[in-house]
Amino acid sequence: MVHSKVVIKNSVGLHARPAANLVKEALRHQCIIHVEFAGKKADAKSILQVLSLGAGCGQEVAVFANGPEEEEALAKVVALIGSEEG
Amino acid sequence: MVGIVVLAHGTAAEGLVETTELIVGAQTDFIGVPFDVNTDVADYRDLVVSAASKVDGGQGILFLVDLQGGTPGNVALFLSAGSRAKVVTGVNIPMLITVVLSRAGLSLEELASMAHDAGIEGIQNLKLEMEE
Repeated sequence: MVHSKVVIKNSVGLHARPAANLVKEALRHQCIIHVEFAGKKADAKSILQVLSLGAGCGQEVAVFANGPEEEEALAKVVALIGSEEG
Repeated sequence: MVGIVVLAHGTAAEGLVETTELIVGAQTDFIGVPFDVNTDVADYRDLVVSAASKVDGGQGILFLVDLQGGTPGNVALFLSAGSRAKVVTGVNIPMLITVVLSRAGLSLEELASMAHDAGIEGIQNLKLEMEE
């Protein structure tokens, strides 16, 4: 398993549309991907779980990837969250 | 990929589809059918059949309807008999954004189960507590 921390750059945080973008990216990878924030853990392939994190702009989340091509998956997800589109 | 048809009284189905696509982006094989309560049921059923045929890619049709027992739900249930179709009631935005994002690679039965669970999961009784 690999993990990394990243600060949310999107001005509205992980709200509906950014969360949908995150889920779309996560679904492209076979490995298990989780996002953790404020003691809560979300399956990055479940938009309802990602939305329930309530993570806002400027806040730091931890991303965990476990399974096939986990390094690539982690890099893609972290890059997305760390961009203004994510 | 399973095709999805949203059915509801009035124009809600089209609104639900529009809002879903606003959040997750434009979708294929995903359509909402309005139901004017003054429309003859046979004519409405024809509209639903036409919509279902448009989104049918051979993997089945999932009807997501507003209410069990209403005309949209009854028409969907009637059409599901003996065909590759399933009906889930209580359609809402959490259900829709979940199924359209995740339907690739899922069977009709798996997607119907996911729709049911997401529809329930998306309903929360919330209150923001102020920090001291």
